[in-house]
Amino acid sequence: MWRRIVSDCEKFERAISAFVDGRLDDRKARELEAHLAGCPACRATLEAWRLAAEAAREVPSVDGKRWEEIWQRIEKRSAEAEAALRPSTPVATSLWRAVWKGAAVTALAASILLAVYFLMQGNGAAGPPASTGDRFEVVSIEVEAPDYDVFVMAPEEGELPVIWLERGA
Amino acid sequence: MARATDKELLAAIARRDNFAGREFFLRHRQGAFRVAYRLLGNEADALDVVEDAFVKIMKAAAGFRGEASVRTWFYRIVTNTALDARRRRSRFVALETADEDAPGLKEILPSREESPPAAALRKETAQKIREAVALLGEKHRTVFVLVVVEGLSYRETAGVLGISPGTVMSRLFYARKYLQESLRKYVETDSE
Repeated sequence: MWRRIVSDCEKFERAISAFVDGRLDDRKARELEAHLAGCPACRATLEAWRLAAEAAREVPSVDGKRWEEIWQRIEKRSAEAEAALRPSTPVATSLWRAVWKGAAVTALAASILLAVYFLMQGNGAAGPPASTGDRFEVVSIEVEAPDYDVFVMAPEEGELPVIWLERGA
Repeated sequence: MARATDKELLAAIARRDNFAGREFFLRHRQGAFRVAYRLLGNEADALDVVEDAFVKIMKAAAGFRGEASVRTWFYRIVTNTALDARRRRSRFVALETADEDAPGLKEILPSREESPPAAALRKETAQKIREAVALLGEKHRTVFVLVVVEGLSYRETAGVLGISPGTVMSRLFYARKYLQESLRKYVETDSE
Protein backbone atom coordinates (compact mmCIF):
# COMPACT_ATOMS: atom_id res chain seq x y z
CA MET A 1 0.00 0.00 0.00
CA TRP A 2 2.74 2.45 1.00
CA ARG A 3 4.72 1.66 -2.15
CA ARG A 4 1.71 2.35 -4.37
CA ILE A 5 1.17 5.78 -2.81
CA VAL A 6 4.82 6.73 -3.35
CA SER A 7 4.54 5.65 -6.96
CA ASP A 8 1.47 7.87 -7.47
CA CYS A 9 3.27 10.87 -6.04
CA GLU A 10 6.28 10.30 -8.24
CA LYS A 11 4.01 10.12 -11.24
CA PHE A 12 2.30 13.37 -10.29
CA GLU A 13 5.58 15.20 -9.64
CA ARG A 14 6.21 15.49 -13.37
CA ALA A 15 2.67 16.69 -13.86
CA ILE A 16 3.22 19.31 -11.15
CA SER A 17 6.32 20.53 -13.00
CA ALA A 18 4.29 20.98 -16.20
CA PHE A 19 1.39 22.48 -14.20
CA VAL A 20 3.65 25.16 -12.70
CA ASP A 21 4.77 26.05 -16.23
CA GLY A 22 1.15 26.24 -17.38
CA ARG A 23 1.74 23.41 -19.84
CA LEU A 24 -0.49 20.66 -18.53
CA ASP A 25 -3.55 19.80 -20.57
CA ASP A 26 -7.01 20.08 -19.00
CA ARG A 27 -7.57 16.38 -18.46
CA LYS A 28 -4.26 15.88 -16.69
CA ALA A 29 -4.75 19.08 -14.73
CA ARG A 30 -8.06 17.74 -13.38
CA GLU A 31 -6.37 14.48 -12.41
CA LEU A 32 -3.64 16.40 -10.66
CA GLU A 33 -6.08 18.61 -8.78
CA ALA A 34 -7.92 15.54 -7.54
CA HIS A 35 -4.65 14.09 -6.33
CA LEU A 36 -3.54 17.34 -4.70
CA ALA A 37 -6.78 17.50 -2.72
CA GLY A 38 -5.77 14.41 -0.81
CA CYS A 39 -1.97 14.65 -0.82
CA PRO A 40 -0.21 17.19 1.45
CA ALA A 41 3.19 16.09 0.16
CA CYS A 42 2.37 16.98 -3.43
CA ARG A 43 0.76 20.25 -2.32
CA ALA A 44 4.05 21.06 -0.60
CA THR A 45 5.91 20.21 -3.80
CA LEU A 46 3.67 22.53 -5.81
CA GLU A 47 4.17 25.29 -3.27
CA ALA A 48 7.94 24.82 -3.29
CA TRP A 49 8.17 25.02 -7.05
CA ARG A 50 5.97 28.08 -7.19
CA LEU A 51 8.11 29.77 -4.57
CA ALA A 52 11.21 28.86 -6.53
CA ALA A 53 9.80 30.43 -9.68
CA GLU A 54 8.79 33.63 -7.89
CA ALA A 55 12.15 34.02 -6.19
CA ALA A 56 14.17 33.29 -9.31
CA ARG A 57 12.28 35.90 -11.34
CA GLU A 58 13.34 38.66 -8.96
CA VAL A 59 16.39 40.54 -10.19
CA PRO A 60 17.85 43.91 -9.18
CA SER A 61 16.46 46.90 -11.01
CA VAL A 62 18.85 48.79 -13.27
CA ASP A 63 18.27 52.53 -13.57
CA GLY A 64 17.70 54.28 -16.88
CA LYS A 65 20.99 56.17 -16.80
CA ARG A 66 22.94 52.95 -16.55
CA TRP A 67 21.00 51.41 -19.41
CA GLU A 68 21.72 54.49 -21.51
CA GLU A 69 25.46 54.19 -20.82
CA ILE A 70 25.35 50.56 -21.86
CA TRP A 71 23.53 51.42 -25.09
CA GLN A 72 26.11 54.12 -25.89
CA ARG A 73 28.90 51.58 -25.51
CA ILE A 74 27.03 49.07 -27.68
CA GLU A 75 26.64 51.69 -30.43
CA LYS A 76 30.28 52.69 -30.19
CA ARG A 77 31.58 49.14 -30.26
CA SER A 78 29.28 48.20 -33.14
CA ALA A 79 30.48 51.19 -35.17
CA GLU A 80 34.11 50.34 -34.44
CA ALA A 81 33.60 46.72 -35.43
CA GLU A 82 31.97 47.77 -38.69
CA ALA A 83 34.72 50.27 -39.47
CA ALA A 84 37.36 47.62 -38.85
CA LEU A 85 35.71 45.37 -41.41
CA ARG A 86 35.41 48.06 -44.10
CA PRO A 87 38.67 49.88 -44.93
CA SER A 88 37.87 53.38 -46.14
CA THR A 89 40.57 53.51 -48.85
CA PRO A 90 40.70 50.46 -51.10
CA VAL A 91 44.20 49.20 -51.76
CA ALA A 92 44.71 48.15 -55.34
CA THR A 93 46.74 45.03 -54.62
CA SER A 94 44.24 43.54 -52.22
CA LEU A 95 41.34 44.52 -54.45
CA TRP A 96 42.88 42.82 -57.41
CA ARG A 97 43.09 39.68 -55.34
CA ALA A 98 39.37 39.98 -54.78
CA VAL A 99 38.75 40.42 -58.48
CA TRP A 100 40.52 37.20 -59.33
CA LYS A 101 38.90 35.13 -56.66
CA GLY A 102 36.93 32.45 -58.46
CA ALA A 103 35.85 31.91 -62.03
CA ALA A 104 32.52 33.69 -61.70
CA VAL A 105 34.14 36.79 -60.31
CA THR A 106 36.80 36.65 -63.02
CA ALA A 107 34.17 36.59 -65.71
CA LEU A 108 32.46 39.48 -64.03
CA ALA A 109 35.68 41.50 -63.96
CA ALA A 110 36.20 40.83 -67.66
CA SER A 111 32.73 42.12 -68.50
CA ILE A 112 33.33 45.25 -66.48
CA LEU A 113 36.60 45.86 -68.29
CA LEU A 114 34.67 45.65 -71.50
CA ALA A 115 32.14 48.12 -70.16
CA VAL A 116 34.92 50.53 -69.31
CA TYR A 117 36.32 50.17 -72.79
CA PHE A 118 33.00 51.06 -74.40
CA LEU A 119 32.52 53.90 -71.97
CA MET A 120 35.84 55.34 -73.03
CA GLN A 121 34.95 54.87 -76.68
CA GLY A 122 31.79 56.84 -76.10
CA ASN A 123 33.92 59.68 -74.80
CA GLY A 124 35.83 59.79 -78.02
CA ALA A 125 38.85 57.93 -76.75
CA ALA A 126 40.30 54.97 -78.60
CA GLY A 127 41.75 52.64 -76.04
CA PRO A 128 43.03 54.00 -72.78
CA PRO A 129 42.80 57.77 -72.34
CA ALA A 130 45.60 59.53 -74.17
CA SER A 131 46.36 63.09 -73.25
CA THR A 132 42.99 64.36 -72.15
CA GLY A 133 43.59 63.74 -68.51
CA ASP A 134 39.94 62.75 -68.25
CA ARG A 135 39.05 60.32 -65.57
CA PHE A 136 35.85 58.48 -64.91
CA GLU A 137 34.00 58.85 -61.70
CA VAL A 138 33.89 55.88 -59.45
CA VAL A 139 30.68 54.05 -60.16
CA SER A 140 28.89 51.19 -58.51
CA ILE A 141 27.26 48.61 -60.74
CA GLU A 142 24.69 46.02 -59.73
CA VAL A 143 25.86 42.55 -60.61
CA GLU A 144 25.05 38.98 -59.74
CA ALA A 145 27.73 38.71 -57.12
CA PRO A 146 25.98 38.45 -53.78
CA ASP A 147 27.57 40.51 -51.03
CA TYR A 148 29.92 42.39 -53.40
CA ASP A 149 29.81 45.88 -54.88
CA VAL A 150 31.81 46.38 -58.06
CA PHE A 151 33.65 49.65 -58.54
CA VAL A 152 35.24 50.82 -61.79
CA MET A 153 37.67 53.68 -62.07
CA ALA A 154 39.67 54.93 -65.05
CA PRO A 155 42.80 56.45 -63.57
CA GLU A 156 45.32 58.94 -64.86
CA GLU A 157 46.67 59.04 -68.39
CA GLY A 158 48.46 55.95 -69.55
CA GLU A 159 47.25 53.82 -66.67
CA LEU A 160 44.89 50.91 -66.90
CA PRO A 161 41.35 51.15 -65.58
CA VAL A 162 40.95 49.76 -62.09
CA ILE A 163 38.15 47.47 -61.06
CA TRP A 164 37.58 46.25 -57.61
CA LEU A 165 35.05 44.33 -55.65
CA GLU A 166 34.19 45.21 -52.14
CA ARG A 167 32.04 43.26 -49.77
CA GLY A 168 28.96 45.39 -49.37
CA ALA A 169 26.85 46.24 -46.36
CA MET B 1 1.21 53.32 -36.74
CA ALA B 2 1.88 49.62 -36.35
CA ARG B 3 4.69 48.61 -34.09
CA ALA B 4 7.56 47.00 -35.97
CA THR B 5 8.00 43.31 -35.33
CA ASP B 6 11.27 42.02 -33.97
CA LYS B 7 12.00 40.51 -37.35
CA GLU B 8 11.48 43.88 -39.04
CA LEU B 9 13.74 45.51 -36.50
CA LEU B 10 16.49 42.99 -37.22
CA ALA B 11 16.20 43.69 -40.94
CA ALA B 12 16.50 47.42 -40.20
CA ILE B 13 19.49 46.82 -37.93
CA ALA B 14 21.13 44.94 -40.78
CA ARG B 15 20.73 48.15 -42.84
CA ARG B 16 22.59 50.01 -40.08
CA ASP B 17 19.47 51.68 -38.73
CA ASN B 18 20.50 52.77 -35.25
CA PHE B 19 16.96 53.64 -34.24
CA ALA B 20 15.96 50.05 -34.87
CA GLY B 21 18.93 48.89 -32.83
CA ARG B 22 17.91 51.08 -29.96
CA GLU B 23 14.30 49.89 -30.12
CA PHE B 24 15.40 46.27 -30.09
CA PHE B 25 17.63 46.99 -27.11
CA LEU B 26 14.80 48.71 -25.21
CA ARG B 27 12.48 45.78 -25.84
CA HIS B 28 14.84 43.03 -24.86
CA ARG B 29 17.45 44.39 -22.48
CA GLN B 30 15.50 43.33 -19.40
CA GLY B 31 15.08 39.76 -20.63
CA ALA B 32 18.76 39.56 -21.45
CA PHE B 33 19.61 40.91 -18.01
CA ARG B 34 17.37 38.42 -16.18
CA VAL B 35 18.96 35.50 -17.98
CA ALA B 36 22.50 36.78 -17.50
CA TYR B 37 21.90 37.67 -13.87
CA ARG B 38 20.46 34.29 -13.00
CA LEU B 39 23.22 32.47 -14.86
CA LEU B 40 26.05 34.56 -13.40
CA GLY B 41 24.60 35.62 -10.06
CA ASN B 42 26.22 39.05 -10.22
CA GLU B 43 24.79 42.35 -11.45
CA ALA B 44 27.97 43.88 -12.88
CA ASP B 45 28.91 40.71 -14.73
CA ALA B 46 25.36 40.36 -16.01
CA LEU B 47 25.37 43.91 -17.42
CA ASP B 48 28.69 43.20 -19.15
CA VAL B 49 27.07 40.17 -20.74
CA VAL B 50 24.08 42.23 -21.86
CA GLU B 51 26.45 44.68 -23.54
CA ASP B 52 28.49 41.95 -25.21
CA ALA B 53 25.38 40.10 -26.33
CA PHE B 54 23.83 43.18 -27.95
CA VAL B 55 27.09 44.01 -29.76
CA LYS B 56 26.92 40.48 -31.20
CA ILE B 57 23.25 40.94 -32.07
CA MET B 58 23.95 44.18 -33.94
CA LYS B 59 26.68 42.43 -35.88
CA ALA B 60 24.75 39.22 -36.51
CA ALA B 61 21.42 40.82 -37.48
CA ALA B 62 22.34 40.73 -41.17
CA GLY B 63 22.85 37.00 -40.89
CA PHE B 64 19.45 36.30 -39.35
CA ARG B 65 17.67 34.16 -41.91
CA GLY B 66 14.54 33.35 -39.97
CA GLU B 67 15.11 29.61 -39.68
CA ALA B 68 14.55 30.02 -35.95
CA SER B 69 12.24 32.56 -34.32
CA VAL B 70 13.79 35.86 -33.28
CA ARG B 71 13.11 34.89 -29.68
CA THR B 72 15.04 31.64 -29.98
CA TRP B 73 17.86 33.34 -31.88
CA PHE B 74 18.05 36.16 -29.32
CA TYR B 75 18.11 33.94 -26.25
CA ARG B 76 20.67 31.66 -27.88
CA ILE B 77 23.07 34.59 -28.23
CA VAL B 78 22.40 35.86 -24.72
CA THR B 79 22.68 32.42 -23.14
CA ASN B 80 25.87 31.50 -24.95
CA THR B 81 27.42 34.86 -24.11
CA ALA B 82 26.54 34.41 -20.45
CA LEU B 83 27.81 30.84 -20.29
CA ASP B 84 31.06 31.82 -22.03
CA ALA B 85 31.55 34.64 -19.54
CA ARG B 86 30.86 32.33 -16.67
CA ARG B 87 33.38 29.79 -17.88
CA ARG B 88 36.01 32.50 -18.27
CA ARG B 89 35.64 33.77 -14.78
CA SER B 90 37.60 31.65 -12.43
CA ARG B 91 35.81 32.77 -9.34
CA PHE B 92 32.80 30.78 -10.42
CA VAL B 93 34.77 27.60 -10.69
CA ALA B 94 34.61 27.16 -6.96
CA LEU B 95 30.83 27.07 -7.17
CA GLU B 96 30.76 24.47 -9.90
CA THR B 97 29.91 20.93 -9.03
CA ALA B 98 32.26 18.24 -10.22
CA ASP B 99 29.49 16.64 -12.21
CA GLU B 100 27.49 19.13 -14.24
CA ASP B 101 24.60 16.72 -14.39
CA ALA B 102 24.29 16.64 -10.64
CA PRO B 103 23.28 19.97 -9.15
CA GLY B 104 25.26 20.59 -5.97
CA LEU B 105 22.77 21.79 -3.46
CA LYS B 106 23.96 19.91 -0.44
CA GLU B 107 26.21 22.80 0.54
CA ILE B 108 23.33 25.17 0.97
CA LEU B 109 20.67 22.92 2.42
CA PRO B 110 19.43 24.36 5.70
CA SER B 111 20.07 22.06 8.59
CA ARG B 112 17.08 20.43 10.25
CA GLU B 113 17.99 22.06 13.56
CA GLU B 114 17.69 25.62 12.26
CA SER B 115 14.60 27.51 13.22
CA PRO B 116 14.46 30.91 11.51
CA PRO B 117 12.19 33.59 12.91
CA ALA B 118 8.77 33.40 11.30
CA ALA B 119 8.85 37.06 10.25
CA ALA B 120 11.96 36.50 8.12
CA LEU B 121 10.89 33.15 6.78
CA ARG B 122 9.69 34.21 3.36
CA LYS B 123 12.62 36.50 2.69
CA GLU B 124 15.05 33.86 3.82
CA THR B 125 13.30 31.26 1.69
CA ALA B 126 13.61 33.46 -1.39
CA GLN B 127 17.27 34.01 -0.67
CA LYS B 128 17.84 30.28 -0.23
CA ILE B 129 16.15 29.63 -3.54
CA ARG B 130 18.38 32.13 -5.31
CA GLU B 131 21.45 30.56 -3.77
CA ALA B 132 20.19 27.17 -4.78
CA VAL B 133 19.62 28.27 -8.38
CA ALA B 134 23.17 29.65 -8.49
CA LEU B 135 24.47 26.27 -7.38
CA LEU B 136 22.58 24.19 -9.88
CA GLY B 137 24.77 22.58 -12.50
CA GLU B 138 25.07 24.62 -15.67
CA LYS B 139 22.76 22.47 -17.78
CA HIS B 140 19.99 22.41 -15.20
CA ARG B 141 20.34 26.06 -14.29
CA THR B 142 20.19 27.18 -17.93
CA VAL B 143 16.99 25.27 -18.58
CA PHE B 144 15.47 26.49 -15.32
CA VAL B 145 16.28 30.11 -16.14
CA LEU B 146 14.94 29.99 -19.70
CA VAL B 147 11.70 28.23 -18.83
CA VAL B 148 10.90 29.47 -15.35
CA VAL B 149 12.44 32.94 -15.32
CA GLU B 150 11.93 33.89 -18.98
CA GLY B 151 8.83 31.83 -19.73
CA LEU B 152 10.16 30.19 -22.87
CA SER B 153 8.27 27.09 -23.98
CA TYR B 154 9.96 23.70 -23.80
CA ARG B 155 10.29 23.77 -27.58
CA GLU B 156 11.82 27.26 -27.64
CA THR B 157 14.25 26.30 -24.91
CA ALA B 158 15.18 23.19 -26.85
CA GLY B 159 15.86 25.40 -29.86
CA VAL B 160 18.04 27.78 -27.84
CA LEU B 161 20.15 24.99 -26.37
CA GLY B 162 20.13 22.54 -29.26
CA ILE B 163 18.57 19.73 -27.25
CA SER B 164 15.26 17.91 -27.44
CA PRO B 165 12.09 19.15 -25.67
CA GLY B 166 12.12 15.90 -23.69
CA THR B 167 15.59 16.70 -22.37
CA VAL B 168 14.38 20.18 -21.44
CA MET B 169 11.50 18.68 -19.41
CA SER B 170 13.79 16.19 -17.75
CA ARG B 171 16.42 18.76 -16.77
CA LEU B 172 13.74 21.11 -15.51
CA PHE B 173 12.17 18.40 -13.41
CA TYR B 174 15.46 17.45 -11.76
CA ALA B 175 16.39 21.09 -11.23
CA ARG B 176 13.13 21.54 -9.37
CA LYS B 177 13.68 18.40 -7.34
CA TYR B 178 17.01 19.72 -6.13
CA LEU B 179 15.59 23.15 -5.42
CA GLN B 180 12.81 21.53 -3.47
CA GLU B 181 15.34 19.85 -1.24
CA SER B 182 16.75 23.23 -0.33
CA LEU B 183 13.27 24.40 0.62
CA ARG B 184 11.96 21.32 2.33
CA LYS B 185 12.01 22.71 5.82
CA TYR B 186 10.35 25.98 4.85
CA VAL B 187 7.60 24.51 2.74
CA GLU B 188 6.77 21.73 5.15
CA THR B 189 6.52 24.32 7.92
CA ASP B 190 4.15 26.38 5.77
CA SER B 191 1.95 23.48 4.79
CA GLU B 192 1.54 21.96 8.19
